[in-house]
Amino acid sequence: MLNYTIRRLLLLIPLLFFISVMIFGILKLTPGDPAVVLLGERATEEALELTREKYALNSPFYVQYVKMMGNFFTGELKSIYYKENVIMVVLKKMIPTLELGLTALMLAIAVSIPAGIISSVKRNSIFDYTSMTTALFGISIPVFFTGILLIYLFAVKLKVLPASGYGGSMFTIEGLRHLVMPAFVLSFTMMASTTRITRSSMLDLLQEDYIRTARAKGVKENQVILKHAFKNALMPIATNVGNQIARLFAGAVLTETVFAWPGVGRLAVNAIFRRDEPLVFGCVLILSVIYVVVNLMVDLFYGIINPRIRYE
Amino acid sequence: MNNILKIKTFYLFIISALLLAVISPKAEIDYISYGIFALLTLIILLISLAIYRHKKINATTIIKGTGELVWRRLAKNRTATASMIILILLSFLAILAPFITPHDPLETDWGALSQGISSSHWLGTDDMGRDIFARNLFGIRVAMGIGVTAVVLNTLIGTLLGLLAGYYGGKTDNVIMRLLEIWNAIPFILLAIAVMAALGTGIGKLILIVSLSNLMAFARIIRGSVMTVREFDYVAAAKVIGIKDFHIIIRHIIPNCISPILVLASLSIGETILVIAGLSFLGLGIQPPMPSLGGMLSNGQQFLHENLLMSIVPGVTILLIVLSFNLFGDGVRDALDSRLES
Amino acid sequence: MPLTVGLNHKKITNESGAPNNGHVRPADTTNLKNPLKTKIYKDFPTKCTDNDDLLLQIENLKTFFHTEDGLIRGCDGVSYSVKKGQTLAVVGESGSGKSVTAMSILKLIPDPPGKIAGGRILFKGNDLLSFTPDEMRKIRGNEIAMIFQEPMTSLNPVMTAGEQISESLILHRGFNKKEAMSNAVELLSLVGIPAPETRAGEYPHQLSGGMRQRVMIAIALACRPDLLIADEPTSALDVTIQAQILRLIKKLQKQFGMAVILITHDMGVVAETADMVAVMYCGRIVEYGTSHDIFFSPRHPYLKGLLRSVLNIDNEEDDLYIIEGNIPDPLNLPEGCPFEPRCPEKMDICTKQRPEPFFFGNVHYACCWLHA
Repeated sequence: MLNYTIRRLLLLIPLLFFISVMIFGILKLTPGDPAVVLLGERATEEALELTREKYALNSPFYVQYVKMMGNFFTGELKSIYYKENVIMVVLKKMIPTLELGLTALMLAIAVSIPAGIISSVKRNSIFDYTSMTTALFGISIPVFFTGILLIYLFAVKLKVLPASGYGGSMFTIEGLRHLVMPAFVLSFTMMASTTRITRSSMLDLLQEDYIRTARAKGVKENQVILKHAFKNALMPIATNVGNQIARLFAGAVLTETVFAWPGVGRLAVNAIFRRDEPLVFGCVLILSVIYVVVNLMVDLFYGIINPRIRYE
Repeated sequence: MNNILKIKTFYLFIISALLLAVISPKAEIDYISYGIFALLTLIILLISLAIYRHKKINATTIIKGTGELVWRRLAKNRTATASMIILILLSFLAILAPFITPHDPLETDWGALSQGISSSHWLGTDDMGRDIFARNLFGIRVAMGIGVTAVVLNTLIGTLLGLLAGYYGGKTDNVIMRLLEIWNAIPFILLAIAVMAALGTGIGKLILIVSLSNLMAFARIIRGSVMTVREFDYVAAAKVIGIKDFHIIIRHIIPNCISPILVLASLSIGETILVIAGLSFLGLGIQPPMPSLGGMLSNGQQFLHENLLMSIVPGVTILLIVLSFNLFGDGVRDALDSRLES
Repeated sequence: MPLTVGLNHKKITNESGAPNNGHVRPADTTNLKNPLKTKIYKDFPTKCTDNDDLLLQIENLKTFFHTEDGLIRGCDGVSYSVKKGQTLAVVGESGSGKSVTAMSILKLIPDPPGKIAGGRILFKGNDLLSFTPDEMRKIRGNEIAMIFQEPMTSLNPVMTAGEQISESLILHRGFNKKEAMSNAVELLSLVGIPAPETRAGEYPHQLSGGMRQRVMIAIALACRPDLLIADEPTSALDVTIQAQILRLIKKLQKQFGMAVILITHDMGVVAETADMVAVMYCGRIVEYGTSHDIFFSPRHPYLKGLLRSVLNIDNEEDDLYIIEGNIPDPLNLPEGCPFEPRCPEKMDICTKQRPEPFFFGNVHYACCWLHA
């Protein structure tokens, strides 16, 4: 396990390096004068000249990359729109995003795993049909449509929840009221997908020979399901959660837009419209790092539950 | 079996050849979408015909080939059949859109703003007096056309990379797979944002990005099966008698990988359509005034208090399309995956 | 009924010299003195009169599978019995219903599609079919244990060998984790695993096939069951390991005085281990008898074919005998004898009527019209 962890952590370094190169490379594709791109169209000729020097814009790609990263980390890279250090701008919006993302992740896992297990055990029951149909809709409905429907129902018609916006920290009543709908909307797709995976892997696993062994031992049925089958099902579920996290990011951008949630996703989208390329770079880079780290945690969790990895 | 596989590959190539034209910037999008739809419908019709033919065979008939078994499984699967019918209907609606509705989706009618259901505007009008039904039909056309195009391209590129990695192994394999891993390590939405920020928005770019989104999944599956097939004696035999690599790949390797490709492709159409709708919702996908389901919803949200139809209609449409593709994909998977049983 | 008491009496004297069937003796004498008693049991070909010794008695067990394509009679009217400390070998091709019968004893038939449709399973005099799931659980792993064919997949990959063994001790013996684990280590050394302390902490993927099967045996023996069902315990193992595992089972059987139901398709294994043998074909027992009966006076053409097809050094024929054809489609079993399509000695009646058991002694019978 230690080996595995170390190997994973070491892999992180080249991965992050290549990711930043790739993002930098993509943004380099922007047509036009890169100095104008970095400063915005209203920049003076003097400032442009200064920027060309600062970012080594006349040097080869790798020098530019090094300069860019250096400026990014020292806070010299400034958002055109906010006129502020890109890292700071992103970090300010990070808390709402994390609140939304983590709540949705937790909610999805907390609902989908029990639902999937019950569906698999009570196969072809009403519960199974209901949850599977819901899950099918869940993976087919666009995040923003769920959001709009909920806003219509709870904010426009029933007027019990605020239609949009951020109500402060999620540990306050107001914050929580604002969080409920976006968090549910964001978690819905993942919930659906994880429920399906949980159910199908449980159904597969319940056919396994070792489940028969456990039953032949006289193990109680709920123990057979939770201890013997579910422990094994955790592996495919963890893989699926890992895959779903990328979708969670996409969902988060959409959810933040629907609910006017002041998060990093919306910041990034707005940055595109504002032609704020440094901010786009910052948002994409920081979110990618978060994504990589979350995936690393999923991988490590996978290592913990899989003895083949743990003991090699 | 072999015949069916040949037909499938044949379709794949035709579709890809036609669809490649779509991303060429000069192409008239509308004209192309007619082409796509004609083709899509033709394929769906052929599939349903095949299924109909196989449905008539009763249970005691001895099944001759794997292909026949697959068709029968698909025909037996009621939800898959139903979803296919819905998809055919939607395709027809989209193709015949100009003949079904008298309204131009772009035509604004300032005298009929935000109206409800009426005999002249079947699903009402939006905030600019445009006919929602007409916009919806054209939205379906764009969503399905671009969705299918993107998935086909995605499949082709992914398959190509997987083939190269799996067949040549060694350094080629290493380079391709490492690059894909890095590509995969950035969530798709962020890549899309970066590319849109750099290059601006547009249908060509949209298709380009979406068709590069899911490469890893395809490449991995193909690489895996190629590596297995590569070891088979008949591939070695083909090499020994001096058959070219290209030929070996086409004749011996692709037919063996076709069913996982089909399963993955049919399962990813729904998701791709969702992604495109999402990007359009954000304003990064299909640009107004061209009608898109995602864009209509984004517009609809602003008028949620006044006109619910503006949100409900495109929302339900997306749901219906994606649901049908998902059910169809599930059916294809069930039919192909368990084909070796029984 | 074609069952003739007279024939029984005649055969008993012939049997007296048979080895390893001392347990049949008491039954012989009772039957001689009271021929009526046989009649009472005549519906159940496993006539055992000494009920004190009787551990398990299956009567007319029927387990059916309701599949999409139709009804499969996995086990169709099977009766056999096992006495304390005895080994019953159940022989047959794959699909003959050996495992289904065994799984039915533990009521582990997956439902749906399987269902026990009728019969009785008397274990220590109680009908297991009337037991509640909870009562059944107390029997499983405790009084009746089972070993499966595939040691590779029969152990839970995410639990250590020790955990898997101690589980049944905790369940049935009320041990705490520590006691159970030290017991598990003992069991591991009992089944011949070197360095049991280390092995107890290892996961199945770290163990070899033979070792996994030993762990399976340790799991099965943890609670000292009265009956061990071994479902092809050696089929998936290397030949050299097979003998070791069989010897181990035999040794432990003697040590604990267990009865064993050994399911196998290997006649060699049967010859080496069995007291009684049941030969199954298409969900039915086609011949039943002591090991001696089966090997020295086989009656059913299927059994004769099976025995001829075993590789034998003394056999002077050049080619190995092959039973022609395949087992019939379980969905469309022949109306008469299921072996009729492949039978070299078939008669007219075979296609029409299912053969009843015909006795050649007190216990030995074959379901074949040849002996009517």
